[in-house]
Amino acid sequence: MIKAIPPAFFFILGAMLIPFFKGKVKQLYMLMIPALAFLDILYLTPGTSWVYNFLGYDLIFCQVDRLSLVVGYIFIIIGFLAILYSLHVKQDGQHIAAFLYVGSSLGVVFAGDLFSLYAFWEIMAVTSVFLIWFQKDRESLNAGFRYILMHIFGGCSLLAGIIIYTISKGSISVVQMQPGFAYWLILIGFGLNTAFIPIHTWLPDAYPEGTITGSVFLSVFTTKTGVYALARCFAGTDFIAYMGGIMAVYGVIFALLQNDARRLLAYHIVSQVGYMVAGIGIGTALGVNGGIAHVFNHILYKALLFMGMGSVIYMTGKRKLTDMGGLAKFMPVTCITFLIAALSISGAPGFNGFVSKGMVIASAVEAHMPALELMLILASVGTFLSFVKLGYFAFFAKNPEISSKEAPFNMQLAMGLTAFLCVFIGLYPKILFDILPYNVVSYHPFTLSHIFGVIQLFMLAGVAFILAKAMVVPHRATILDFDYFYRMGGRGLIWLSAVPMSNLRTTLQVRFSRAVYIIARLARNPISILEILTAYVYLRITKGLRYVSGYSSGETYDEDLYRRPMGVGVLLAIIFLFAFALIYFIF
Amino acid sequence: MARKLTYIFFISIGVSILVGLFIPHEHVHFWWEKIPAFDAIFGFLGCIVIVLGAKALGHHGIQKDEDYYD
Repeated sequence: MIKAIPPAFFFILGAMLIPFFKGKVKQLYMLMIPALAFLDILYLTPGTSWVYNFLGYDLIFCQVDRLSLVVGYIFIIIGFLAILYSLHVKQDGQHIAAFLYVGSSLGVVFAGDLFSLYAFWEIMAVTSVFLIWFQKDRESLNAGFRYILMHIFGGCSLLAGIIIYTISKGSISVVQMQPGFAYWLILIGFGLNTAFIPIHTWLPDAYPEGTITGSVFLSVFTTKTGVYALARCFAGTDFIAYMGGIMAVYGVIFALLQNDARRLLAYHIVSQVGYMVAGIGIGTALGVNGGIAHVFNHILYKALLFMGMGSVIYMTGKRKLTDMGGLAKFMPVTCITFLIAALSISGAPGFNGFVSKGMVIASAVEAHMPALELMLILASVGTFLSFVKLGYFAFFAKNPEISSKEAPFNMQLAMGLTAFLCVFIGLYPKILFDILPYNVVSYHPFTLSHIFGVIQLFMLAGVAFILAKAMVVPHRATILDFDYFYRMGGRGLIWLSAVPMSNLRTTLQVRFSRAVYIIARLARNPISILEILTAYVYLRITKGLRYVSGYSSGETYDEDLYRRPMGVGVLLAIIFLFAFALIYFIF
Repeated sequence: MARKLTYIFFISIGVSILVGLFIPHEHVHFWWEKIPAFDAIFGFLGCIVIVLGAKALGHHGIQKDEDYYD
């Protein structure tokens, strides 16, 4: 039998051939790649293969277990749907960046050693930034640079951690980490991609600036590979569990203040990733299963939300909630699929978010972490509130000026299929439970108390929304986040190098070149050095003596210098005139 | 129409709370799970807390003009 190929290779090699196809053939080709990769992943069997020896270490490109398989499945499924959504895009560069991005994410998932994991990790950062830059305006260029700077920082931290770990342990296999210096460095590297507070700012900064189709890819892969890596190396750490709770609440509160539709969604990524991180941090079978199930479900509905808002922006050119409204009657497909995604992310019964969010919260209860449980429920209330707001102001609020057409067919089809999956998993979660990392899932989502609890939670949140509607109306504003410190720090650094350091450089340069000039002059006639030295010493001594004696050689300013001769002349004239008059009167 | 929807909404809230009172909680872990209609109370208060929290943050300096960073 032929050995199954690592799924990453399909996308990475497939990206190279995209420019050689045209029109319909190209579209077919691009859809075929994820389809082939999916067939391939079905043939992967648990174990390690594609091992290469490199400098005495084993690089493993295909380490398969239940955890990597479930993340691999969803990455390929959403890869297919997002490619379908972006079929109409004409620039090959965007497609190539997206394919490489998907491929390198799959590379991380199936990497069995830290070196190849790191290599794919960096390819992800470098390829994803092009999905932002292809938007081709000033904001996206700047946001892209901020994005890549932060990811380079995270990557460096990760690499440093990996090197220290490798040297101290002598092994490069991806396993559960033990506390130590390397542990924290690697955690910062993973945590940056997972949007830990306060190193999350690249996410809400860059994702709204990406291209319409690029943001759909962005919303999926970076954070979820981060969660996957945490599940591999840091499962069952209390710090990470509470970080998840903080992210969940923090993301919701900041989302509520946003006006840019995709920035609002980006803050909800922080919040939802918080649930996954919490589940992983709790680390029990139910917690990890819940976290990974939430990865699976979140990818579907969050990509669908970005697709929906993307098609609104694509068709109307408006990206701010204050400019939108009343789009339900112009874009019914977008509106309905968007509402399905909104219900899924809120965790309404019958949609996929209900199942996995319930698992994470139940695992917090099971592990006796009451504060975490309440934080996660609070975030869930806020999520519902936030999506009532987004749905209302985008699709239902009155806006007589707006008119639009429905999005292109491929976008509608992608949204429809993704929405179908959200509902399908919501109604039939067994299909997801069967592929989760821990084989036995002892969780029953559809108990009456859970369903009625969630319904009550949302209905009363709805009442509060009606009461507080005036307070959640979007405003045109910039909301400061921790990025304030990074931006001001960056500006400070630029000022430091542009002003004081630059002045220092000029001063040094002037002094140095003058010294060189003098030495060159003296070197022409070395005998004169003595002569000049004598003259110089004489000059110095006389100058010093003059200074000590208070003698002025006229160099200092004297106000009488020109006034005195003139004054004396005038005085003499007056004296002579007086003498003349005296003589005239007397005689 | 809108008025009718509002009535239906409030009636369904009442029904869900009433039904909720008669559904036994499978495993009670924390004391607050014994409070009747805890989810409804938490939903309402949580929502208010989040809105007020966000507004307070916005008023205390993090909400700036759109071109703040330019």
